[in-house]
Amino acid sequence: MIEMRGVTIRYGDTVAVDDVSLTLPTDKIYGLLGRNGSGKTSLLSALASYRRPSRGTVLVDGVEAFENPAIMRGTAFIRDTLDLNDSDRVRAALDVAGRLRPTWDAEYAHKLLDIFELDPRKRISALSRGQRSIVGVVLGLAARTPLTILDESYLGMDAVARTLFYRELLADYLAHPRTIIISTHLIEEVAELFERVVIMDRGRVLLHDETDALRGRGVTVTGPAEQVSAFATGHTVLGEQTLVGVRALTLDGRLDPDEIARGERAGLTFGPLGLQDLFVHLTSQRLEVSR
Amino acid sequence: MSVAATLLRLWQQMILWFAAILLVVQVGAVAAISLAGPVRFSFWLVVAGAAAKYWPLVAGILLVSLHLRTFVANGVTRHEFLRGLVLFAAGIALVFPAVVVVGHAVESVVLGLFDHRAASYPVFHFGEAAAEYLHLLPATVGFLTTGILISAGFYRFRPWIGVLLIAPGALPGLAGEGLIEVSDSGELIARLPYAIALTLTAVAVVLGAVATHRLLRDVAIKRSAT
Amino acid sequence: MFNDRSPIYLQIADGIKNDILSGTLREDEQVMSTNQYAAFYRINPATAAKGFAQLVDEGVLYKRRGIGMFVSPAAPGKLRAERRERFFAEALEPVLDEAERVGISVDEITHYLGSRR
Repeated sequence: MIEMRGVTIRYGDTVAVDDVSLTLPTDKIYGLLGRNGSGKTSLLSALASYRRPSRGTVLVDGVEAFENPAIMRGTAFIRDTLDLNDSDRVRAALDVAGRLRPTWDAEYAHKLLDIFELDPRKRISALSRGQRSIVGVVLGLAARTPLTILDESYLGMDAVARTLFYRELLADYLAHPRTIIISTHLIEEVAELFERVVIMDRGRVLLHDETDALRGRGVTVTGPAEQVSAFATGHTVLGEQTLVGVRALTLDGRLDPDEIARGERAGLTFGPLGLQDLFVHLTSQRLEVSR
Repeated sequence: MSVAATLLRLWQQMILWFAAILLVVQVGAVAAISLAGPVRFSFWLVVAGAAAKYWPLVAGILLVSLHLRTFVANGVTRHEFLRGLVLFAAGIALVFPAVVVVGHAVESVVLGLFDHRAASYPVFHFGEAAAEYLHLLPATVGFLTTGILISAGFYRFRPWIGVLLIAPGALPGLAGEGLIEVSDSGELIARLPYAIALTLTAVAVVLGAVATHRLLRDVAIKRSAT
Repeated sequence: MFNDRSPIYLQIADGIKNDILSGTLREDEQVMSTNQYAAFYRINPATAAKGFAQLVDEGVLYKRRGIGMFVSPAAPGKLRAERRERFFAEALEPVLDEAERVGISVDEITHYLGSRR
């Protein structure tokens, strides 16, 4: 069990993470979603003990994680910038990981390099953005740590590389179940891999739920303005669009079939909301929070 | 594998190259100087003696800026890294002065065999080997401490604060070199009674180590080297 | 394969039911394990497990410990009965609604259906 208790991270006057309490059962794949600047990377830095929270603690199985050798040894945090020296060769970076990480699987690391067609003799400085991301993915997966955190590890990867990444991630997770946290902006591409989703917004956790519970959670109702508004009373409205008498509202929550049938008889049309649309509605500046 | 052993593995190549270059320069330079007549000074004491101060300074800076981030990224705690750093640094600090002494001995003996030592050449006496070593050691330890401390300051704070901290950070190195040294002419110098000078240097080094620990024990791991 | 507008575990359950109804999966035939299913369709295994658990709950599949999951002998009949029950409400009613909107009478529909016989 990974727990964050009242974690706050401040940079001077800026509050990047604001009093977050979050409980993550282990051995699941989590998706961490949030807009740029929502505090994802800061939160992950605290989870991985890269940064001591300004307030609050991170506990792994009830023990404080910060500077705990066993917990830090069991945590891999791959940042998009890669924590390697540019002059190092890929091979040397993997070698260091093998020396320092008891769970490292060197054979698997080389298999991954083959799959991604990356030459281990290359220097980090000579790699393209996508190839650097691949090195990050290899370091993260081959570490086989009980907690593996991949922060936007797909940056610069082409569609083929991303597909390989998702496939290898899932295959290795099936063979070696562990806690994997993936932060991403490409929701539609990877959401099927996530068992649970955490959405951050302005330093806070907006939502933490099973991914499947969010599919079709939102619904759009379209029709004559008056009927739509009448139908929406009592529902949380996430978004609104009106054009010459026709109104489309996005509602939060699942409607029961009777309600939908009643609406359809009144001339309304319903459409379920995909995960990405739900995310956009939940995290966009709510200019019109109407009830 | 331990932090210190991994550091040694990472530095092995650089250390070997450094040693090879030093050796080639030494042999070439002394051979050239010998052509002009008897050698009046110890080239090795001048070059390797200086290297025993400034190379540890650079090594200290690199150890923190290159490796803290990469080791923590591989699941090593800051405290484990610092312990390994102390072990590795102690290895450098103990071995380097010994290499200087041994090199001086070899140079002195070889030039003696060819009867190529001028009167002013600081002849190596085996009975003074320990004293020579103990007069080289404080500066090496001091500069290594200073290198580590200064880069810890830059790692922890913004650059301009790091710059301000260079002055106090330089103390261990300056104490080590200023109070005890082997001069270019091979003279063993202690500007205060040796025991007191050594104690003062040791205090500066210990304070430097404590300050480094304070700076790095809970430092945020940055995205770049400094 | 799956859309993200309804829970995937329900889509999985529906897909397997369709395979049983169409005869692709037969009585007492073993179905994929959740891990095989997850790897094949690139989805989270917990999601797949939930879909399979739903089918076990409904009696469509049964478990043999240590071996895997199999199609219940009664499943095809039961599923067919359920679908037949829902056919009029879920498949036909929307057709009749649309017919009414565009002004097609029930007679016309009956006539059309008669010609298809």
